[in-house]
Amino acid sequence: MNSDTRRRLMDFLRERVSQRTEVPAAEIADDTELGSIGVRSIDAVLISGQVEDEFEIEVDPMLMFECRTLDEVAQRLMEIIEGE
Amino acid sequence: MDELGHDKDAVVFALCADMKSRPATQDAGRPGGADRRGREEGRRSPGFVDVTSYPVADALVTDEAFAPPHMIQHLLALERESGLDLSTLIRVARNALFFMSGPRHMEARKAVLDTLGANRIRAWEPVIAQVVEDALSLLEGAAEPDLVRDFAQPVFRETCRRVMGLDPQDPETFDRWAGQLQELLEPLLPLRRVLHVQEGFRTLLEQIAHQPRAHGEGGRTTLLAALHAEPPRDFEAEDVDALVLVLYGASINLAQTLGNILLDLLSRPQEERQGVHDPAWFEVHLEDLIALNASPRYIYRVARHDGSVGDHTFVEGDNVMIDLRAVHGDEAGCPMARDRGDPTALPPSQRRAHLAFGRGLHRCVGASFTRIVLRTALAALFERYPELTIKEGEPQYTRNTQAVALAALPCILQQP
Repeated sequence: MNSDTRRRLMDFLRERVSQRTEVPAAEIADDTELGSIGVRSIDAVLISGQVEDEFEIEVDPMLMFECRTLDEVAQRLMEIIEGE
Repeated sequence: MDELGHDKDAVVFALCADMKSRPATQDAGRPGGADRRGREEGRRSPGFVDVTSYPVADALVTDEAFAPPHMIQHLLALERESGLDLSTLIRVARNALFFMSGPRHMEARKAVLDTLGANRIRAWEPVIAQVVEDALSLLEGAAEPDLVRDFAQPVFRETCRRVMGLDPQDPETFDRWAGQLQELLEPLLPLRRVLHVQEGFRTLLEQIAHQPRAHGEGGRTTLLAALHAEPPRDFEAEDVDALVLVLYGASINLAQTLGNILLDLLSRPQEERQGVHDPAWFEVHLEDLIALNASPRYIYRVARHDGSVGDHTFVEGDNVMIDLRAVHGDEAGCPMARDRGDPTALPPSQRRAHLAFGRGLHRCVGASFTRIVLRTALAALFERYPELTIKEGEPQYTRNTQAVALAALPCILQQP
């Protein structure tokens, strides 16, 4: 697994989730449950679109509801990135 | 892509995300049977709840605490937050009966039923019968007849266009896009797909706006003409076009359901379909066939507030996915499932107890029309070809998260 890409992805996700939820990035840990900080359907759609543009992959917004934490989201996205 | 926008080469397999499509023939039982494997009732993930039992589904569909998704508000927020122009899609959603509510919804619904309602639609039976005869001729003339391409799709296309009054200048493009409109129903549609669907709607609305304005035929007024002549309150001409276009897109379920029913019937042992060439057989069996084979996968609702139904607790905002195949296969809770194989055991009123057309304020306005088309098409097909069989091989389904839809159904019309 490309650790640089994963780190960039985690930072990207944390920043976008922070923007959407207005929870400071410093308070969003890798294992923070996304549902508990108020990630909504529209947030999933917008963040997924931004990930698609940044990392040039296709992302199903459902992924953010299937995964509990930022770490799990990143794991799934890395599988997509490395599968491309 | 085929002419209905289906990816013919995409065979769908079950994925770990239950939201994705799955072929009904994964069942151990006959095609068209309920597919409950892998889908347990209850909370699938935060914000998503699957319903697979009939009593819970039956209660939910008429409970005002559970309503169709707030698509209009979602699209407005998406437009605002993304900076993208979603005006066409917002207009479409404003005029899609499924997403509407309140007095505007009720007036639009009444206006549509003035053409499609049970008593009014009977005036179109001769037209439907003629379309079916034409489709049978097409089927007979095909070098390698296919019940989806050469029968179900033409029957849907011609009956719906004529009743709705759609006469596109570019029918091929029209149907290619129309086949993709169901995507709008998908929860959490990716932004790139939102834009793609909008492009489709924009293309089709332009075609409708520029098509010849035919009033009707044989004294019958088409839906488009009727609504333009007397639009519901607060409907502009573009709103009428959007309303009818959405109805046409939704009516693709008719072609898909007809295909599923044909696969189901032709997969049954001969003794289970004796009498299928007799129209009277379908008077008794049609509702069960619809319940088993209706193409929509889900009825989609959103919980308006915290609450419970049966053993289920819901949180405000929960996306509730009523799995129609599972619900109609619920032998413990669904009257039709308990007496499957002998519809006469049920009183006629209970034979229509399925949820394939929904129920209540958002019940399908095309239900009567669909029943007439299915009954006419099925009876005529089996009367013309009593030896009809399907070719061997695993059925191929389209990639469609909202509907169970065959890509093809090759057949043999007569035994040599």
